[in-house]
Amino acid sequence: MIPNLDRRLLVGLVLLVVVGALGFLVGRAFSPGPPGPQDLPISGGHSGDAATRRVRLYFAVADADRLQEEHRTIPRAASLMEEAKRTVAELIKGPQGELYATIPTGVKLLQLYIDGRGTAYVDFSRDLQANHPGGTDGELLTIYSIVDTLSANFEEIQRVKILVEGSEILTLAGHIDTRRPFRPRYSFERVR
Amino acid sequence: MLLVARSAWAGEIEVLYEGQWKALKTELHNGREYVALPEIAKVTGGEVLRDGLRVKGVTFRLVEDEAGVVVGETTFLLSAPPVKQRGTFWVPVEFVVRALEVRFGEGRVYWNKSARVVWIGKERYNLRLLRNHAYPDYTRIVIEALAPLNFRLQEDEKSRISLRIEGGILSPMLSEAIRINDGVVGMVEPTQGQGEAVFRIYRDAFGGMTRTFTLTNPDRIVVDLYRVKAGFGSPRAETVPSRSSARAPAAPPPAAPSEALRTIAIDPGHGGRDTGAVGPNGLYEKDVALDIALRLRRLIQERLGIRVVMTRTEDVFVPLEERTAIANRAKADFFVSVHVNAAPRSRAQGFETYFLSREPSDSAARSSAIRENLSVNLGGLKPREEDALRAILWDMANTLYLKESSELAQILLEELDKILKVDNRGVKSAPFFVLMGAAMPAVLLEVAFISNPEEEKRLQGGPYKERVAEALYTGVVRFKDRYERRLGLTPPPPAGRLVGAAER
Repeated sequence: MIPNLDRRLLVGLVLLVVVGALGFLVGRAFSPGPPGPQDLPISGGHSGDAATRRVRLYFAVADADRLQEEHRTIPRAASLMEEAKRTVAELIKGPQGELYATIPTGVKLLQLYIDGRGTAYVDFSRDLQANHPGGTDGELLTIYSIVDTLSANFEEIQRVKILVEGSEILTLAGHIDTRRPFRPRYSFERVR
Repeated sequence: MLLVARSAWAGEIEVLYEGQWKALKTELHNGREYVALPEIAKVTGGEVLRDGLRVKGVTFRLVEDEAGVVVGETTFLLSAPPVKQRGTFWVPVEFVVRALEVRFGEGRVYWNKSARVVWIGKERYNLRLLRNHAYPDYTRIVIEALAPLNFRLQEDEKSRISLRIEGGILSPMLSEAIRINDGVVGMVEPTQGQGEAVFRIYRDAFGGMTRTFTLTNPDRIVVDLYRVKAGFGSPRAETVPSRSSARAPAAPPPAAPSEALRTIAIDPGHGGRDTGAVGPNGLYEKDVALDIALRLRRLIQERLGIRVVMTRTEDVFVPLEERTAIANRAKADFFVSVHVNAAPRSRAQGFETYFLSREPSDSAARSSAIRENLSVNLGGLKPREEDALRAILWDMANTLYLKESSELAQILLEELDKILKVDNRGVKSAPFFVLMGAAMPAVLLEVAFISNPEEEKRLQGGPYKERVAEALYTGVVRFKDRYERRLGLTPPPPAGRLVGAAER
């Protein structure tokens, strides 16, 4: 095992490079500038030596009015962001049980980074919009499956902002405003 | 720092021409929206020069920090000077319209600022826009033309006169009735006739003198409509209506503006290239939403007699921000967006109603909604103070609308529940883009799941859609009654007046 100090250094360096490169791309696409790499937390959830980690993924129930979890095991990574990426990659692959997929077909995760204020920026390929089947509930399920999966597994993530091809988007399919980050929400409860 | 964005991302404007559309990215510089010259060159087929742009042999010369643009022999003024960034010139968005006018000809380029769309029409219009202003004694209506045109004014009935402009072609900006309601003029309704354009002017009271004249540079037709007053010494009507002698002698004073609910905005979801959700057998959400919305409009118009403003009446693309802007401009009392739901490969079925929820951190969306929709005149304030004040007004208004929005959502849900035998999924709230900018109570309805084969089948026929429309109509009547009853009981003005009164 790598000594603790070196590992922290390595994590820091990886984060710096990843965020730097992404920031450059995003900056070029005129997106709002994400906070700088000096804000980044070093993950607090990496104390165990286990080579794998159990994560919860949120998929839609048949009635499409709430999300329900399925479990997966992902390999541990050197950084929080890497593990978050692996978790989203599992979400994209879809459910294995009775539940329903929430991510349209063909979607790729392009980037993921987390700023110092607990906001994760998750950048997907354009398929997230182009292949989205639409519907308010369909849209809510897609958004919150991403948001809830990240927030439930990584305590450092409090909010999630969805990007497409490096840019902020107005909506996924014409309903929900995606210009701002979302906080987790596990069901679309009735208010009245 | 590596990640500081040099300029804020602003958005995009769309250019529609020859059946295709292109999006031009915009950036904010000093709080204004700019487009890069190479982007403009793409849609105008122009050539970027070191110091400007050449379109069809016409050169636009730019100087950094100099708002005047030299075009051939003339100069026009931009709203802000061009800036140079990353080796290219950036210019305020209105430059796009100028450049497109050179390429396609003036009169074919339509710029809808709030919809953020520039489109190139096949036909040249010659009536560009209509303005109105209320003076103490009269209301002035000004129609701006691109050429001098002949016109005549005729009185159709006691409270309606028609301005007929020979050879007039309306710009698409003049496709909707303009509601004035200032106690003199109720509404002006432009219509395109064969070989003429007609502006029907509905007076708020019978009679009253009118005066028409023209102005040039630009060519304008001016109609002044005088307030009806006993013993009023108004100027003689210069264009004497043919049936002026039949005019009613005394007119009742215009009624005080009624607090009653008078206008409903109906927003059929999606449209045009945005199909919305698609059913397993290929039914489009946009078509179902429009069908139900038109049925609802018919029921309201036939039975309730209140005004209905539609955000679209055919299969066209309308940007989300434009939808509430239409309702705000029409000063609608409430906004109903009709949608059909979808959820992938699920058995979900039924209806639900939504109203807007927003998180406190929602400042970006809020400020843009304020910019676009709150035209409050706050003279004398610095831009930053003005923004802050608008933000406060907007927040107050939204809090007031929230309660009414949730009540409207509840009433419509109950009525759907009485008529439809499918799952009632309840009233919910979510941050809907389309409801964000509404200066009025606003709801979004998901009347069925198009992704469910059985529901799709029901939606293909007329009877089910008619039942949905009937249910919504009953809900509208209930909401209207409740709204008006409450007004009768409570002296303070209703929520709808806060912003409504501030709008001009």
